[in-house]
Amino acid sequence: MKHVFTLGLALLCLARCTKDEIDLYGNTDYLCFADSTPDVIGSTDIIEYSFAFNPGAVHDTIPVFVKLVGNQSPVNRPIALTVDAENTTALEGDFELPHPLVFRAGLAVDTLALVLHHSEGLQQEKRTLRLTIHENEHFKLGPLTNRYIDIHFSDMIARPAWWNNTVTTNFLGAYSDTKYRLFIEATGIADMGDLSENEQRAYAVIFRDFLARGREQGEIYEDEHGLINVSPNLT
Amino acid sequence: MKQFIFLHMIFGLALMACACHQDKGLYDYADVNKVVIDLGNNGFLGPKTSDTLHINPLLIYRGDTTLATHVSETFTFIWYCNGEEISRNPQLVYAVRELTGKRPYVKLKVINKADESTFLAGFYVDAVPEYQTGWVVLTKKENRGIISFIDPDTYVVTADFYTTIAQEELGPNAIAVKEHWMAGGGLTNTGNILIVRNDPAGNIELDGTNLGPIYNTNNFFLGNVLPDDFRPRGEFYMWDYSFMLDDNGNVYTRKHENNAYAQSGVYPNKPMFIPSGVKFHKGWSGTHLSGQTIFYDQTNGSLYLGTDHGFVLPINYMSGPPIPPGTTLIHAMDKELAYVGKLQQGRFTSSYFLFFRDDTGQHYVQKIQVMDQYYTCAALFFSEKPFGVGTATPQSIFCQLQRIENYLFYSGGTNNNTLYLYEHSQAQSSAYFTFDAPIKTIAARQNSVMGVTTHDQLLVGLENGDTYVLGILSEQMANPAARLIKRIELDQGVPVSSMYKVGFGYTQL
Repeated sequence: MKHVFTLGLALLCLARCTKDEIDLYGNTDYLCFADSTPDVIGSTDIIEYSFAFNPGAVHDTIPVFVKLVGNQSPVNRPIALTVDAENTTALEGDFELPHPLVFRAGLAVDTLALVLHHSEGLQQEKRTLRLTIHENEHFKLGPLTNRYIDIHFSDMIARPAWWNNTVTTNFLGAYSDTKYRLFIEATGIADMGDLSENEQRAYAVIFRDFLARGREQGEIYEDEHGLINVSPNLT
Repeated sequence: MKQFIFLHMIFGLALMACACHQDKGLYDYADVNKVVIDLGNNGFLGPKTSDTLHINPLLIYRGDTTLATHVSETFTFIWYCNGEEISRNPQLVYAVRELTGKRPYVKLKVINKADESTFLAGFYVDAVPEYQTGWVVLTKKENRGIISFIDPDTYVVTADFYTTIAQEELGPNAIAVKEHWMAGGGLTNTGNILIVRNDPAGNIELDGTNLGPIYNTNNFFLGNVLPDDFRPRGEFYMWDYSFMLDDNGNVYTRKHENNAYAQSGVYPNKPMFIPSGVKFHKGWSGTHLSGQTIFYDQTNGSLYLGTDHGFVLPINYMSGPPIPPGTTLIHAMDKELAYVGKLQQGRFTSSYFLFFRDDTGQHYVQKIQVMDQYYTCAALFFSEKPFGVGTATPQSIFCQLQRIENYLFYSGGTNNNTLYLYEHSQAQSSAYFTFDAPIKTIAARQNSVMGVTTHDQLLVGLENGDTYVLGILSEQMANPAARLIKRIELDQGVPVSSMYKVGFGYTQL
């Protein structure tokens, strides 16, 4: 029995002396989608886009980030990217993939310029485009959650969180989609969430003057509440 | 027991006998001669921070009144400032700016060397900042804007102080200087100086106490984005709102987020909507009290009010007796509006003199009272009179006294060299002073004379770079020989704009 223990211990000691063979770092390059903070790989954000925030645009280009995990290359390398038809509701003419589809030399994060086209029906429905990365001779696939990205786009608009009671009472009055679209057209901004009350007031004044100027020129601004106006408390 | 009571009675009587004992007294008293200290003030001093205190106290001692310097053998003198010793000389010679503490209390301790008797007296020092009040003159020389400060008492000139203090040039396009008080900043806060620059670089606000630059008003546009083709032509501060007028005739208004601050709130970076595409040629600030700004639409010959509610409203005559035929109508002027003279009246309702000039060079003055009725604005018509026949010219500069309604000073005559006094009540002009060069600026000083806030001096800037201080009190008006107080060879170029810096906010209420 004593010998069995001694032998076992000796085997264990030998096992500890076994040397693992370590893969050289960078032998394999991985590629995945990244979110708007591409330094961190988390699960990829869904990209939401609405033509309502860009009034009058017939097409727009949105950035799609792809991140390299591995060595940067001195040459451009092709990316295998496809549209996942099963999970895509966008029509063929709604988008244009960048061409050529390459990961550019010397970059750790590259931006693909995806072009979205405005079309009929986007004011009534939101469409989805799913892009999927595939493995090729240059890249293996990164984390599972980052191998595809969904782009939801429309020409629809909804009451934003910043259009709260304070904004309603002091500045812009009751919310309506039509008013919000006009506000964006007048001010060039769609988000007042991070603005001070001073700035919100100034934008509301610009909007008030836009409505007045338009009405003087014969425009009619109405929504479901009647005539579109800013809050009567705005001074 | 009886024996006990008896013993206590004996003891008590002995105590009473002691208490009744009269002290005959055998002491050597010496009279302590009281010293009364007269520091030459009533407990408060208001020197300028640049001054030096020279205080040689008067001592009233043994019936004599003598200077402290004459009795230094008899007394020890110790001066304190907020409890810290600052001098042991009989006479205090001490720079005001070296006094410590927010409101220094200077105390003199006088000790009689013979008997160590001690006497105290003191006063508070409410130091007035060096640049609290004074004349401010904006000039232009060799394509440089230069701003200078003239001390109202010593006439010492601090020339080109902006370049010295800010370490940068004002640029060639500075067009006006004006004082800016913050309504909520406290009545004892000092007004700042606003320099309007017809330049994309924007207006500059200077600290009223040390004249250092504190703000560029370009930084108060929404998102730090300036309107297209933006060059200020004027900026007008009221209590709760301010207006910016640009070279394209557009106005921008902002609400003061906190009217205790010199700058607060943001201007929209798109022009304010004025119906019918009205553009403004010029603007004039009302009094600080009024909360009014007057805008002039030269194209349509109309007058507008910028209100302290952020509105720009057309000014129309209120209904009532008909306006006399031939009057210049403020909503349809057939003459050019050359100047608006404000009068110190109420809040939201204040009067103005409007000075018109027709095509022939004839001038007219109309008095109206403008009433801000929140959503509308009405004007009460008082009168219109022709004035300045043969004296006022297209080059005339005007200065209506804000607190003496009767008096307007204006330049005119040959080469615009003569200063005239126009008396509204008499509707008459008279030559007040004639200079050796054309007049470019006129500013009136506001002062307290025998407890009355009024105007007592004028500063006249000449094209040759000289400035003159003239007296305008009743005795100086009556005696032409007494009018000239001081000629100052400023030598900083041609005057563009000038003002008297009044200082504290309460002076405007």
